[in-house]
Amino acid sequence: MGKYSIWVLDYAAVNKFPQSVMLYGPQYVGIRNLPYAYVLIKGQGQVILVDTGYDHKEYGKYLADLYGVSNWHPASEVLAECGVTPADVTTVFITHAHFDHMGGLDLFPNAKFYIQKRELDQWVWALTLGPEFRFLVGAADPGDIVKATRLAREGRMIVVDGDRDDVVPGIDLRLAADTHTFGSMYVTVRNDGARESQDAWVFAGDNVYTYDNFTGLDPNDPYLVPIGLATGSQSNLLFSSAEMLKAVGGEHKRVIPVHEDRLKTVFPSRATAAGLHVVELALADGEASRVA
Amino acid sequence: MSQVDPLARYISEAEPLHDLLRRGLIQLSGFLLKRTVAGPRAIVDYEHVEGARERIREAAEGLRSLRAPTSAAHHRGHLVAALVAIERALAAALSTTDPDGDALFHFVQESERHLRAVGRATPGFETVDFKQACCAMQGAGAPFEARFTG
Repeated sequence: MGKYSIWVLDYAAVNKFPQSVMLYGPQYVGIRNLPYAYVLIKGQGQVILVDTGYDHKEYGKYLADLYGVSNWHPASEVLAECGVTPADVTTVFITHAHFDHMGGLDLFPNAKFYIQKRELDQWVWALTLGPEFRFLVGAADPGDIVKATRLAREGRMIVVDGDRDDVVPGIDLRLAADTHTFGSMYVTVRNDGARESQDAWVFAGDNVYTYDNFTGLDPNDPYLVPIGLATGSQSNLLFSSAEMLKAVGGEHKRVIPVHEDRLKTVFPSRATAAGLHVVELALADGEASRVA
Repeated sequence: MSQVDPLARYISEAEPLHDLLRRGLIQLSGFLLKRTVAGPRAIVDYEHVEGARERIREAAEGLRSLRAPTSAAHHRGHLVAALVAIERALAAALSTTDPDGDALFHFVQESERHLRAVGRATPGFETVDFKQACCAMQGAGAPFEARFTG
């Protein structure tokens, strides 16, 4: 039993997502189901989320109609599968400023939010560039920057400059600069509390989309394969992946890509009445299973 | 001689102006965010404010000459209201009488509300550029079903 209970909670999905976006390589080689999910971490008096989901009120219909995003359910319903309400959330780690990770800033009225300084600084910088560079700033919602400003004025937006150990006990934040985005961050949970943890989990944000990013598609010839989209560089993505693997002792299933559909078969899970999935990674002492 | 549909012409002319306003909004709110997290004693670079000023100037020029058919009058109204609010936000950012950023934040929010309204009214005017969005990449540029069932 670790110090924290940890679940990955789907809140929507795209049923036909191009594999080539998840795993850099040939185009038109297939499609996969892509869950949209966030991570719930509970323990040590904390209720923590990694990422928040997107702003369904503003563009849910647009995403559904034009991008095939389906079966969205609100955080109140998704978190309830683990006995948590949005008001219970104490801490949110924002891995990067894309709309589907940062769009729910308004949903957690009692939480403090953590994001990398580099992520915010560089988004704003990139927008000083001309429209020919808009590739670099796609998927960022100016409304999220306004929401972040509101939170900062309330003292609830903590801007982290680089790596930070024990942001809460046993949980570290790591900057993966110039990877998927300018200031992407991943979250390491050392669930035994030890500095050289034997029970570590890494929540990769979008720096890893699928376990295949760690092995490629040929099990006889494994190698690191970057995701399709990097506003930074794909070499930085690979080095960041290698660091994540080191943090979990090479056990790549412990690096969690929330968009990986196979999480529900790799770990204990259940389907909810809404057709979403609760994936259970760890249980702290005294915590009941939410999937048994 | 073919006639360009007035609404189509309006949309094609309004889209870049909307983009200018969107970018100016991000720059001003980004400036305020950086100033807020840096704290009251920090010296904050005004580069983003200058960048926003240029974008707002361009948007204002374009909106002055933008003619909207009756069916787009409401849409244009929101764009103009967004511009007015962001001009006031810019003035607050450049003034010395708004040390806590209250006025700047107020007008940033107001501008954002109007840009959201424009986005709700018209596809293609969303404040998020989904065409570059990794997690929505499959749908860029065409209705979803048409891309996979055609």
